[in-house]
Amino acid sequence: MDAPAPSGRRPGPLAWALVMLCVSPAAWAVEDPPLRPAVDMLWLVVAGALVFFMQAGFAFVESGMARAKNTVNVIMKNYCDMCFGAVAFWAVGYGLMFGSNSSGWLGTSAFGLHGVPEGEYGMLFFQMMFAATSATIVSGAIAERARFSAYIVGSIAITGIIYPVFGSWAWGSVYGGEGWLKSMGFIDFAGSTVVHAIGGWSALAALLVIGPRLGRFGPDGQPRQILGHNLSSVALGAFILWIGWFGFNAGSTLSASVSVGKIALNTHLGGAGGALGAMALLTVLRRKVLLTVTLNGSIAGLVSVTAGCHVMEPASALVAGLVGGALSVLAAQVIEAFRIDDVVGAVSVHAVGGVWGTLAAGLFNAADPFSMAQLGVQALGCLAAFVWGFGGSLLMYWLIDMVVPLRASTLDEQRGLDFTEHYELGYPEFQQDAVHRGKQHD
Amino acid sequence: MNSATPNSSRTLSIAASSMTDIEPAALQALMLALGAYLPPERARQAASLWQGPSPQGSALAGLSRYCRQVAREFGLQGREAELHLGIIRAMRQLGAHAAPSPADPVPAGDDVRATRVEPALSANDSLPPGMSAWAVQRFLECIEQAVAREVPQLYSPGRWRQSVLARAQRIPAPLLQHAADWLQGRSAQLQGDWPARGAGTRLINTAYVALAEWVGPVRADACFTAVVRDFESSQDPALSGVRRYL
Repeated sequence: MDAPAPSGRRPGPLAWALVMLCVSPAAWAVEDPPLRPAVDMLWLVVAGALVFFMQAGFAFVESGMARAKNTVNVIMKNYCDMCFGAVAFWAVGYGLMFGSNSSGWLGTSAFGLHGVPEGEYGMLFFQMMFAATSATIVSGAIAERARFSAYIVGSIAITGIIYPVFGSWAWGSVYGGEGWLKSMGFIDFAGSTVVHAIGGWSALAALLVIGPRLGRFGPDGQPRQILGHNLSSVALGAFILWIGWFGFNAGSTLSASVSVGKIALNTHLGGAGGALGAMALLTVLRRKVLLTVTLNGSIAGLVSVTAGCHVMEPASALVAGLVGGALSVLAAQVIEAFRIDDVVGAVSVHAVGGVWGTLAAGLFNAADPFSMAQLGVQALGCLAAFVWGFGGSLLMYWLIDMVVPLRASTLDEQRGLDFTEHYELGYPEFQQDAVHRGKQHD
Repeated sequence: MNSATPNSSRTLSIAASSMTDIEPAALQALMLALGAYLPPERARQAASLWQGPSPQGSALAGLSRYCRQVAREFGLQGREAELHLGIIRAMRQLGAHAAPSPADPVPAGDDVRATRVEPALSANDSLPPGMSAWAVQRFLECIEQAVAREVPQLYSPGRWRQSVLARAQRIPAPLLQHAADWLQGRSAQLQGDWPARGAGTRLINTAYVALAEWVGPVRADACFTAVVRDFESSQDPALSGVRRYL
């Protein structure tokens, strides 16, 4: 009531600058040599920050789908994915992925990037966020029973080795040479396979090594639902992921080009289509239209357009999203039938969505639609991702399990990992009845 | 529990002559403890057998012998440990001089269960051995009741207890044998020392794992929470500190 009337506000210098940028023809065509790289870099950094924000989305989704007694643990894993992953990717991963790649199989330079022209750091910053995204997909899948230290070792290995090696095949390189998949014409614009399928296959490997949560399947093998403790948090996380995806996909242009608009639109339609596809399939199957399944459908839709959002027309992006969302529902049921306990549906969303998205990029490529040759290359890329991502991760988690091990003890699972791993409770006021000794007894 | 035994007529004959020798507070404590198992007249008979702490041995050993005798003569076999604990609590509550201390030395050669236990408190923050077994046993009994209530169509005592036992293989062999004896009905009481943060915690966790498989982890947590809440509101010191086992 005491606030000044809108008419009384005067635009500040920043607002004027933005207006001038929008209305000035010169601003639309940023061809001025000194300005163009700066604008590109600005967009890359903003997009990287959006991708960074996706970590918050993952944290909210995963912690909300876990029980209250494991909230802190899930958030710590997501947070530490970023922290450990940043160092691992800077030191090793970036060089393996984007370093000089004369063989087509592995980068061999740009490790611990240091003392290079300033323009090169933006790419490292942006790609660093992608690497952490791939690693954090595992977190939600094996929530509520993974030993924190073992998980972090696995996360470092994914960020530093597993993800970058495949990335070098599909996206390498910045410093000369070309990855073997890239040279075959493999299309994966923003990482349906490179980021999401690799993360999803790693999650599947971790799930097989760690086993289901206590009581997730009854004595007769019948699955039991373990409901998440906060669906509001899950929904907020899904919104954040969706916002972050605009940076994820549109930022993959690596420059502030006009194509950003189409990519963002396709991204949005893919996400919407994914939710609609999941809801439609649930309705057809006469199942209840659950919030969690719908949200997972939208994320699967986003994954499904990630590979081809730059080459698809909007209608194709919508179809890709619809199919991806529906597939996530079916895949979740298949995974459960195999008694695999994927807490957040990471495999059905990221691995299955990633494979479908990669194939869809070949099918719906507006320049050459339904090309069987392209589809073959896409399928080969998916197969290579499975062999490397799943096989490498299975070996890695098996080794970790032999040493650490990966699985928390049943006593820790009983008490909740918040207390046993981190000595903190997510909701101390509401967990007075927590069935463990509690901090006050230490 | 209250059935008469062949020795009851002999007991009755000595009762009147012995009662006057017992310290009033001790008598009251004995009546209080025995009253939980026997009707008043038979409790009085059982109390009359009390001879107080042995001058040569410890109060604990004397009490153990007494509990064994009462159990044998009044049909309370298998409840010696409960009786033992009940009398200790009652005596402490009423300030009887004969109340034994868990820290009293225990003479060698006495074969009752209570004398096999360690003379001092467990090395951690647990209860004395007899009491720790009692607390763990009660916890497992409550969990079993919860299973019977939650999944009556699946529950049978044998199946449930076998399910617990199958998951208890990491418990040290002697204690595992005690657990097996109790779970399979070969002994009416859980024997041995089951300290918190040790075997006691592990056995309770074993029950949790079985419970989670039977009723699901969410209901298992709810059952655990309910049992803990009940125990913590109990007047029984062995049970009210149950959280130390979790």
